[in-house]
Amino acid sequence: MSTLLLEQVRKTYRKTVALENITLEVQRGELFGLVGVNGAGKTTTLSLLMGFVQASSGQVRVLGENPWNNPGLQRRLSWLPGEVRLPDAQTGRQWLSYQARAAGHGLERLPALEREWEAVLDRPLRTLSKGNRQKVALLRLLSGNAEVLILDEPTSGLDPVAQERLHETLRKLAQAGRTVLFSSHSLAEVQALCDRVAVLDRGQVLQVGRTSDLERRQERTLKVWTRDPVPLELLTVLGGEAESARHAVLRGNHLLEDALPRLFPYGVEQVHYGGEGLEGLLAHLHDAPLEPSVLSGGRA
Amino acid sequence: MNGVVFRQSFGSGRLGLALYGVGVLVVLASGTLGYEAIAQQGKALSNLLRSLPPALMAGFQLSMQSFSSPLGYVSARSLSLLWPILMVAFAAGAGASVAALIERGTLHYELNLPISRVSWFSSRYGAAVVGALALVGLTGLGLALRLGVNTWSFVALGGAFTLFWLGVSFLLASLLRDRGPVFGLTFGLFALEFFLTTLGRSLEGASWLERFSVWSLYNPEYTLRHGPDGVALAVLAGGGLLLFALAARVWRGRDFPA
Repeated sequence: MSTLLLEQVRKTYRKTVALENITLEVQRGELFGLVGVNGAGKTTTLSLLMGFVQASSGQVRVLGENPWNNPGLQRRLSWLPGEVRLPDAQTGRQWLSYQARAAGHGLERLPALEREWEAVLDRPLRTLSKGNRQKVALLRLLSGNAEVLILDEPTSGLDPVAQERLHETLRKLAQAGRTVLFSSHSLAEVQALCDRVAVLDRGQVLQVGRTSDLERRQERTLKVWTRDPVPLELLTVLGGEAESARHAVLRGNHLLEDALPRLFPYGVEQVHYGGEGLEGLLAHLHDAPLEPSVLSGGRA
Repeated sequence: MNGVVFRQSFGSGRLGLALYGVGVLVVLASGTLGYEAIAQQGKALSNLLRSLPPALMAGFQLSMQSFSSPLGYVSARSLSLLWPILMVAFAAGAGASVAALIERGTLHYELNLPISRVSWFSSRYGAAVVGALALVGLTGLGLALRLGVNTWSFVALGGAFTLFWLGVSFLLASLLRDRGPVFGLTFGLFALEFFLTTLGRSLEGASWLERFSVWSLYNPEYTLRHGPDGVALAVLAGGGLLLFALAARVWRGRDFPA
């Protein structure tokens, strides 16, 4: 049985279609990423799984149950929003204590988490920085014993050290059998962290697969500055174009192995090599129809 | 109802409740303390009455008799004018505090608790009702101590009146997502009710307008003099509870996208 399941789900808000025919499965112990630009449908997908909104059609299952109006299931889920906003007047400790009492679990793990995250819990939440508020919300996420953790762009307010600590924590949780689903607009973050990923765009799943599959499908960019001009005929053969007489841009795969050595005779002075980024990947996925092998890899 | 949510809701609103308590006492004091001074100056009392617009007199159910005794004076000046405004503001604030959770984005932590939506919503409502009854009780106690009259009928009327407006504000909270509109619309409807009653009493042949106004059921002076009005109590309290039941139903089925 899948821990998280969306089957041919459609979600509309009045006349606006937020999600169209989404199908996803996430297994127990997986670290699964949803990636997409703003408005792609990531947060709506997470809202459906949390039971915050009801699907217009299709089937949503979390741990085998429909999450809509299912308070019993909420005990097994934990949520972290993208933009962390907390009750202003309370301290972090007061708020966490209330949340724990209402959720029916203790706060035995809180002291250790407080030390680990260097969280500020005894000041009114309105006085805390964005990063410190995020830490309080993270402590809420981690202090319970939820089997499924759903996080919406969790690292947006964190400094790099805290981001890495969160990544490490999520990896450990997944290794311990918890299921972690999180969204991000950072392709690099998802690739670095997740076992599998779904790429969403305009309410549809463009691709589901292992992050390694995604990397293979990504087009790379190679920018080369040379001492001598590179002939245009050669650039055309290599799939590149001239930005100026001594500056060429090449796009494709295997550029370092195949294309770069052929430019050495022209005196390579500087090289910049990178991925195409999320927007580039989305354009690439829109242009290239999904291969059956990739699709089947998406259904674990 | 959920005890933890109820206590949390009541606890977070305790400062507001205390301030309202002070406000109620100030309103009562302004009526009771002022009466002796005005009563000694019959001419000034008459001038005061003449200075009020006829429509206002009609809308707030004031009459020359209202000012002829401490009881009438207090009920007319405080209970017909300032007190209901204070209590509608309390009711509007209680509903707005629920909408504020949606507006601020903190509601989803509550939705992530193993508590049904209806139970959570009822707990917030329950805390507001208890707070309102405490304020109405305080008013009744203040009146009894100051005037030496039996005020339980007023406590019942005031409780039913506030219950009605709590129903209105919680229904608006279940439909809207910002505290400002919830507060403003609750007050706007209250103003509309007053306007309908005033028109119905001021214009000849327009008394039918009062049928569309629950405000006309709120008459503290009559209640204090003659005892409770069963119809008024039933309509106000029953209407308030029906509105809340509708609000809870809307709340249960509503999408709250993150």
